[in-house]
Amino acid sequence: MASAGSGDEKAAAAAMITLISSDNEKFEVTEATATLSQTIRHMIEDGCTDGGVPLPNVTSKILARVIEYCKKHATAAAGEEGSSSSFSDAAFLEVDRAFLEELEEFDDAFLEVDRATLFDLILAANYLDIKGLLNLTCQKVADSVKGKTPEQIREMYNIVNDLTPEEEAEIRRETQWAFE
Amino acid sequence: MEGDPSSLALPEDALAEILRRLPPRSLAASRCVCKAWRDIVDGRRLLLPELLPHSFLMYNDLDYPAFLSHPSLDPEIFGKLDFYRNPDPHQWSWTTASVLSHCNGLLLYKDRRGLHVANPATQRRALLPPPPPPPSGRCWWGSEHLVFDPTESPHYKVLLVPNDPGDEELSMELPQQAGDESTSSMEWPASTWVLCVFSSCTGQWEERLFVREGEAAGMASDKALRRCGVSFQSCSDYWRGVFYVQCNGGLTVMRISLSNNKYRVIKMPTDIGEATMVMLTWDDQRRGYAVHHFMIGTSFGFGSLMTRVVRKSGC
Repeated sequence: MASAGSGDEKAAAAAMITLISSDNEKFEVTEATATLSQTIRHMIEDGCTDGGVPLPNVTSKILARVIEYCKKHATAAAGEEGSSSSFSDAAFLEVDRAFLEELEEFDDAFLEVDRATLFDLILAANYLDIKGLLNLTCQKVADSVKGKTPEQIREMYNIVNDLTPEEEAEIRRETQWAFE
Repeated sequence: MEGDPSSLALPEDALAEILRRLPPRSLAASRCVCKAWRDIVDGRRLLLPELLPHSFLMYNDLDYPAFLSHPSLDPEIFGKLDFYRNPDPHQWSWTTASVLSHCNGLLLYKDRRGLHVANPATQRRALLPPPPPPPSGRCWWGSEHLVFDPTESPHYKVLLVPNDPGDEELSMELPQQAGDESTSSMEWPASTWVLCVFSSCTGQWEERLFVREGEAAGMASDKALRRCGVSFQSCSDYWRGVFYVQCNGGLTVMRISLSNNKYRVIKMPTDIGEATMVMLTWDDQRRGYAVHHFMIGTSFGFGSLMTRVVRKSGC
């Protein structure tokens, strides 16, 4: 955070950012946590975070979870930077590995949510542009679709088949190899 | 809709993020789920058409290889490959290059410089290193065949497969030793068949041993197995890890499994007639191999088309 240059006093003073959920709940987070979101990073760069950042698309329930994710991964990013630049001995690598394992466990546990929450997290990750969270949540859904037939996918996610029989036959003809 | 917690009511961007993480086979299946999914896959070109399985058809009397791709593909993929910067776009010279094999949209051809693999959709091509010399006394390894399945891996293989016992005999220049009699009284192909395989993954040729399951095609001395005339071009296909190649002038098809280095001889019906092109596909409903015969006339087009199913015969 200690980058030299003008306007630094302001950055130092405003190291905490206030995020405001759609139901008007306020969350105080560090800038390091908030800037995992590219959307918020751009807002900070543009200097329009005074008085809090309203997030009208994210409920307090989901925002709390998103912040939980960002906090954990912000410390991970900070830890990585520190260890890779100044230390390289085995002890530190060991610590690193343990930390990465812990992070993986955190991610696994984080994904143990109901389907509606998972979709809300995808929406929030997409809107806030948080790459890691988007990857994590989308991969979870992709894994559930992988190897399934169209019928199984529709049933699993209550999707109505609005393709005409002709269109469906056409698709199957085009990529017949996928249905054999 | 929105009220249903289990439905995938996500905006297009988010849905595309999920779909782009699917392997090609699942991506193709998900095009069939509903209109929105199909439109995302198509609109964002998530399934790279240039890497999808296509069909090639080659006609002996056509100026250049005809490339058949589905009309929905945009832009259209044209089979003409301007290998030689020939100023006339409709000139394909068979005297300078010959197409040896094709598989799921990739093309294997040979010219003065050696063997090349080309993708007509991307216009990318690679010159392969020369294969190692054949085992002592033999003149060549056999016909060149291409193995490629983009739903499986972006890497391809090239297999050199002898067409008949003649391809595995000692060349004429070598002194006729006792070998002649012993080879002709042997089964063909041998119970352990040595083939030469190139892998684009390693960029190298290697000799690979394939162990036969089941019977041989016959004895190496059997004249019926030596039907490989000048006009015969051995067809091959690759399907789910198994490579099928015509041998003995179409009398047999070798089913070569690249995953476990085993092979099996499939004997074809003998009443095929004068078909110049035969394709073999697996017919799941009828539990047999469907043999498609294309009678190709001298003019452009098929003379007749016949499909029949042969027994599974323990394959």
